[in-house]
Amino acid sequence: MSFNQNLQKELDQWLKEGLISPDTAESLRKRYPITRRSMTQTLAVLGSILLGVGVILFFAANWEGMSQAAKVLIVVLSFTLAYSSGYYLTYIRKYYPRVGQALIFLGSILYGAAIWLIAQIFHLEAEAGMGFFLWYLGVIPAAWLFNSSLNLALATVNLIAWFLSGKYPLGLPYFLFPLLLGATVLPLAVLKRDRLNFTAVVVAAYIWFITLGVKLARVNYSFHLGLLSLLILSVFLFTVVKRLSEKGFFAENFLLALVFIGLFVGFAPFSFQDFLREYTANNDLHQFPYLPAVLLILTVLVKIRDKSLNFTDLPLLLFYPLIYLFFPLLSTNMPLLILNNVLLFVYTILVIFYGYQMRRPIIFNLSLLMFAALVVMKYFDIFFALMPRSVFFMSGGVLLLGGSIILENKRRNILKAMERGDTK
Amino acid sequence: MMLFRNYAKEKRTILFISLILLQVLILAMMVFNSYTVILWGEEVLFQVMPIDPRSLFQGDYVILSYPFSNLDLTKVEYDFDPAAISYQERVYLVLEPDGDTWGPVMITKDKSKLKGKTYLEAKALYTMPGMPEPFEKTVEARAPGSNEPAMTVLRLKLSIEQFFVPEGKGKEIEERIKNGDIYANVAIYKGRARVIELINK
Repeated sequence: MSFNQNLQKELDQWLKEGLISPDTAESLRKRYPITRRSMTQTLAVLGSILLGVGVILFFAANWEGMSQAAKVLIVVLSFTLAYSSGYYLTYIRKYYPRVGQALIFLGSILYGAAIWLIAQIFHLEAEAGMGFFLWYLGVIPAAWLFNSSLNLALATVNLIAWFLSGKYPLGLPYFLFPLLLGATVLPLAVLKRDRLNFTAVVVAAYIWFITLGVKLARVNYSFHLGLLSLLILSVFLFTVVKRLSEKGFFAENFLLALVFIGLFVGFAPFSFQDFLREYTANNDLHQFPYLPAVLLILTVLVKIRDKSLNFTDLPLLLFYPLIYLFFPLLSTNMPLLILNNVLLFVYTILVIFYGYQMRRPIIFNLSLLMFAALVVMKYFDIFFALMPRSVFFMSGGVLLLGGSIILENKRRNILKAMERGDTK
Repeated sequence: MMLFRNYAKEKRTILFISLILLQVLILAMMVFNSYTVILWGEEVLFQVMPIDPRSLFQGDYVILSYPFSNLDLTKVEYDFDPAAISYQERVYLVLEPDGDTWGPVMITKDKSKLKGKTYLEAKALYTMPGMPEPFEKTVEARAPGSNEPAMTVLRLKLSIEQFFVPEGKGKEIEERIKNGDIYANVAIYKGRARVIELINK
């Protein structure tokens, strides 16, 4: 059950007990509405997508029976008709608003079809980012105008596709991407409290930030730098989410999930001997900016001073690999390796505990997934060289099968307990 | 935030029509941008090279490669250090007729050198060692005291590297390209280029 659904249930109870006034309850109901997806809308949207894709494929077949001008005219008329029909049904007739919204979405897809058709006519570059950018440019006003999550998602996907397909060096297009994301997509996602689009923006920011870290150091595809960038961004996001959670932020669970995944993925390689040996060897990473490590130390000191350091801050500890850069000679590999493995294990258990204690099913399920991934990783890491291959795979298979049954049973029982409100 | 449905009817209609016009304008600009090249540009002929002995056909378009896609710097003039070129940096290929076809005579980053010339805009990707040359030339091409091969080839990305074909025709065109039978008729206008057609010579 989602947070909003739980809250709606609790509100009735609180009203009965006189904990809140009817006005407060009404404000809370409006602020955290339950969105019910209707079958009509789902089918209409699916129909739009199918029709739109069908049109794109139709023109992609480069049918010679029609002149190029006729094809362009037909597709322009198609999206105009789709938009007009959608507008009529939603805002004039007000009879089938969901079908109307789906038709407006179809119009946006057909507009994209027109772009690729013109690219085809003039043999423009097939995978060029510019096509995606022009598609985004035409669809983002539609997203704002019609307050449409579907159009916003389409615009976001196109913006991300433009950035990824261009493989831009550091320059205007590279920095235009986060600006456009922050100025045109993020505000609407926040205003609409649209979790999916908001999460897409955050994921896009992750991708941009990680590639920036690699590019700034002028090293191509540096795995170490990518991981450090991931850790930095995850910690930054963690502190932002903690501040926003005091105000009841709508996408808190999604952001926390991203943070925990980011920290896990960023830190896990440090628990492997080969990676650690390579990382602590003297290399160009000593040129990496010291700021993140200094920030970590300052953050912890401030929290100790404010007496606000608690177990939910422990993910910050995973940031500490940056401190190796100051003291590489003090760290010999084996104690560090053991410490990293213990820390990763403790971190995973803490996230499980956090998800359970805070009654967050998304975080809890994710933490179990991380735990399973950790067990599989360490099984391969430790036992692969020690056992004969056949024994390794057979025993691994038995462990996985048995473990998955036990874990799934436990997970279901705990989720039921969380729904009942039993956190003991 | 004021919702669209709460606007006055006239304002709503104006905004809706503006959205359609914006999208039509974007499409019109795409057409204009390409059509000006074809209408006002100079037509040049390039030989099309096989790019991959196994398959050129991807989806419903054919990848085109030209003799100057991997530009041999020992055969043209250039006024910059190829080793210092950045990935996707813009360069200009000055072209002159060479028999029936056209070929590059100079590559430059300086637009002031392009006045009155036919040139093609490209993006420099990376340099790589050239094909093996006679011993004397290879030795000359290396830096003094260096055993490293000289980076004498500049890989370019051009805007005329694809051609959409009717469904099912890709294999036939691929075979003709492999046989060296295909030439691309290209319109060039102020550096921008569009493939008009593929012709069989």
